[in-house]
Amino acid sequence: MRRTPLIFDISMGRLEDGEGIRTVVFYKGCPLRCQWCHNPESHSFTHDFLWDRGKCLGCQGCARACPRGLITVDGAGLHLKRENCDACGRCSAACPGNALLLVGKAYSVEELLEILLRDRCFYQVSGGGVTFSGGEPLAWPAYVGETARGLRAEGIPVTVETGGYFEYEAFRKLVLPFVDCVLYDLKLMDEQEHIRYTGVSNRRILENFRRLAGQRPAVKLVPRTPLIPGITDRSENLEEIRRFLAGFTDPTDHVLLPYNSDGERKRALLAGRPGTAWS
Amino acid sequence: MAEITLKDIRLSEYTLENLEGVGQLREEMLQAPVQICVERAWYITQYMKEHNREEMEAHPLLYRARAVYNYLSHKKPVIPDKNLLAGTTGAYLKTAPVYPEYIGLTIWSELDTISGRDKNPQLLTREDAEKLNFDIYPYWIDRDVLASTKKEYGNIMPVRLLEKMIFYVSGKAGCISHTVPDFKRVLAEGLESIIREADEKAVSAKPEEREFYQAVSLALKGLIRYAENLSREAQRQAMAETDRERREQLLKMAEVCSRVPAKPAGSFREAVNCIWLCLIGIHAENINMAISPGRLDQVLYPYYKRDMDSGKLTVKEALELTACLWIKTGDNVDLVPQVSEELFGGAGTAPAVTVGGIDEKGRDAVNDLTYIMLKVTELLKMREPNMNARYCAGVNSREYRNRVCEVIASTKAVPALYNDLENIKTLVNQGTMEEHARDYAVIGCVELACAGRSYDASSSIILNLAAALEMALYNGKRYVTGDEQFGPKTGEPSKMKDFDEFLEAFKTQTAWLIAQAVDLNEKMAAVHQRMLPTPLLSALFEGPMDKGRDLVFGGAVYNSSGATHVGFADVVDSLNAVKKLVFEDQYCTFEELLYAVRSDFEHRDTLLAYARNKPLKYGTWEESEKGCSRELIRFLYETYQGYTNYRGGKYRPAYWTMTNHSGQGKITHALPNGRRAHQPFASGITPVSEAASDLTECFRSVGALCSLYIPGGEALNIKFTAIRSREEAVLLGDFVEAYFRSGGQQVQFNIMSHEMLRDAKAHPEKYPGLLVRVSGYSAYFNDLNDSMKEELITRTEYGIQDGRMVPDYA
Repeated sequence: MRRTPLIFDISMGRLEDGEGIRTVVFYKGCPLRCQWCHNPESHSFTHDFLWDRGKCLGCQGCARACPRGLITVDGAGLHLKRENCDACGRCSAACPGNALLLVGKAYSVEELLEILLRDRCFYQVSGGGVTFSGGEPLAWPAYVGETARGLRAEGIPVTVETGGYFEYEAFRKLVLPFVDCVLYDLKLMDEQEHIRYTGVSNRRILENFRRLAGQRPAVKLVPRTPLIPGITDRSENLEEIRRFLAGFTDPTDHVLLPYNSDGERKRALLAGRPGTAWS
Repeated sequence: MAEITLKDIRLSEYTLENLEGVGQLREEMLQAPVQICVERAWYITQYMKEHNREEMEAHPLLYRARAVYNYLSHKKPVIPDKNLLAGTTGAYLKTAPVYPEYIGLTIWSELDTISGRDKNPQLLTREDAEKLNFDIYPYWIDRDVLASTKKEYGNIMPVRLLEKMIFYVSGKAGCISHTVPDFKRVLAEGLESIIREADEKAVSAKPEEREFYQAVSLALKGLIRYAENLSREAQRQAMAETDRERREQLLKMAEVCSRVPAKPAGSFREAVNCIWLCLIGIHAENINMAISPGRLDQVLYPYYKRDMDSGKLTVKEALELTACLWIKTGDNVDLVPQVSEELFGGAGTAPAVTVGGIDEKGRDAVNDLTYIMLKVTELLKMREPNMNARYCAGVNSREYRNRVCEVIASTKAVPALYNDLENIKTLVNQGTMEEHARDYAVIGCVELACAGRSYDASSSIILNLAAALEMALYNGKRYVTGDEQFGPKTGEPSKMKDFDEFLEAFKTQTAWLIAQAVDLNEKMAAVHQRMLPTPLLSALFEGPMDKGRDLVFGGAVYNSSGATHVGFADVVDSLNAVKKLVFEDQYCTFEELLYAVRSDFEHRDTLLAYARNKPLKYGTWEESEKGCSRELIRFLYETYQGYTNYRGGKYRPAYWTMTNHSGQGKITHALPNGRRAHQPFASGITPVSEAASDLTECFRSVGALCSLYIPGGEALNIKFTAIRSREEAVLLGDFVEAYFRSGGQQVQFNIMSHEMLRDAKAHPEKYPGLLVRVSGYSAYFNDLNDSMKEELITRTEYGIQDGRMVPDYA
């Protein structure tokens, strides 16, 4: 596994995902495979390519730019032999229409901090800060912790968005001391359902939540549930989540997130996973 | 510094319905047709025709004052509606006055058609058309500013460039204006006091100064005559009036006009009416373009406070009087010929009112009247006056900041916001005393003036930067003018070794074009000095009365000339595109790029996409670190500051474009950044549409340009989909405040979506009076031409709920 994570987007001037005006860092890689995920390009821990057929001008610029000759574009679509690709990114840099995008970039902690500090005065004025999102940011406790520490030193509040599937001890030691708020997703209470729709059991997620809620000194903890029609938004599920939460937090803190349909469009762009043809 | 005594700064209890007659006055003014008024042109011309030309040229001040006196003393006193304030700019409710000294002759060939044209017709009676055709225009045919300049200097290059219309616009051909007068003295002392001073000083002054004082005295007497005539007319109408309430209003009006502007203003009502009469006086002498009333919440506050303290005035009456003034400032528009209508239509006269900020001592200047003016602006939602709110972070309250943002949310367009910290620093850097700089007000669109102290002629030059870029691309020629050589031969780009060589060529062409525009400005200024001194306006300024010198001779305390720029963002992106495509990536040769640009990217889809998507874009962090934007801003600043004008002041670069970015865009061919031929440029200092997907990055890149290099002012347009709550208005305030901290000077908003604007374009009848920000001033959407409408529709749009750029799917 990589030592530094890949980041697939750093989005500035955001008003969602926490208080005030924020910069949101999206890490690549997630242990869950929620069927409704609106950021499918965040699943894999390695590079991905997005290809938008509608933007492709058929110029073969990507094919010419690839130093290993791994790309061909024809009537059927774009073909990329991923096994020999080292994600140098020349193909996507050469694509005039930005149809082919290399997703995932590594930054040193210093590089990332420099970027995150650019909007400092927007955070200060609005009570905003930085949000780590993903993917699963807590898959990278050392890196995320060091970045959060750097932000704390500058007086910038940090929020983490997590799916709850992470190593608690590493998180507690490396990240928690520098975090002001955790937005914690609770999706399905029934374990079998959870496995069915996200690919993993929810035991660890619920256990981590229990421990975090009992953590002293307390960190601001906001449980959230994305409302997926017919899956998570069923009343039994929501009721069960509320019962679970009643033991730890003020139930009114529970945030229900509307369904974000952007995943459908992006899944189409990711289409065939690397190595096969998009068409 | 004033205490806020209003219990509710939003003044929520007042509506258009419960303010006496205001709703109706608003409706009548909005519905009124524009009527061309020849009265002024008639009396000015009549006087000039009766006198010998040589004699007039030997004593321009005296003759100008006499001509103005001739008009004002004969000007028909008209009371066209139930507005509480007396006085009208022309002889009708809403008029386009004719200024034959300037560009008034441009409608000569349209006298039969102007009343009936489709877009923004201006009504002209048969009788008036004949007066213009036979009596007025023939006199001016070789005497207006442009004709006089040509007669004096010949058909020189600077004039040829002006007449091509695609290089620059020279403000002096059209106006002496764009300034903020000082009303403090006339309010406190009355015109009679200024006349007394002028008469006394005339006795002992040197000959040329004596003429100035005599001219002041005469011109001001003309304005007093007009007020007296108004007073008599109100009296006469009162006698015939059967409605008791209306009769009392008319008698009150008669009383007010018998006192002001001759005597000191004794009440808030007199003070407000005095300012309006002075504006009429200024427009009798000078064209109605951006004569800006300035900091009215400061100037009028002592009169408001006195009347409130003594119980003579209520908040409701103050709102009504303010509303009456606001409506009055829109009683005149510019005379617009067809060609200007097509290129630049929909413009108002941009009388700028400025509120808020700090006072001369650096204290919070926001007072009850500030909130009253904001409320009136919110209720009326009218194009005039052009409303501007200053904000000094750390001194002005958050309540004030948020209130301004609420007004923006509810008018969807105004006021524009100004950053005191940067603007004051910028003016001080230009040699202004700190306390004078703190008293700055906005001129016209966005330009900065020390109210009543600096004469800035801020629209002296409107320069198309794309013209300089094209001349660098085509070795001194323009695409649309073919083989005609204009600029210096800076070489064929295809032979250039590196980007720096091309950048040098561009700078050489820019400097050359600026030199031409400055030269023309100086020559026209000499014509102004011979023909069009401004004794009346000078009397309402600090400086001329002490120096015995008219404004056009440098009488003001501070002097400068303003030069604004069209196409800034497109030119920056084009320079970055040349660098990236030709030199860094060697994606194509310069020849190939030029071929594509010449053919408007026909059959060059991939090159077009590469040019649009790959180079650095102004409005992003990377561009501001590594691109050309900051270098260009600095280069222009240094070039202009190298010139001293005829009044001893510096030239100041600015970045606002009114509708010129659409008009100049229409007549400019394709550019290397992938902007197709005839498309509008980005407006003012705003990045090209959709170049800046992150709003904070956009704000930071504009802030990073360094306000010291933008002493003339800037207009940044930002569009939000909708602001639906007070909380969201606070977020808007947060964005503005952080942008100001990162160095921004000005920002203005449109709160409207792509869909809504498209609907407004398709169904104008559904959106009467829809107010939009163009670049620096407001306009009614329905008055704009299609190209300008499209520019507004396709501007980058952000959502206030999430801060993301809203994709335009159409």
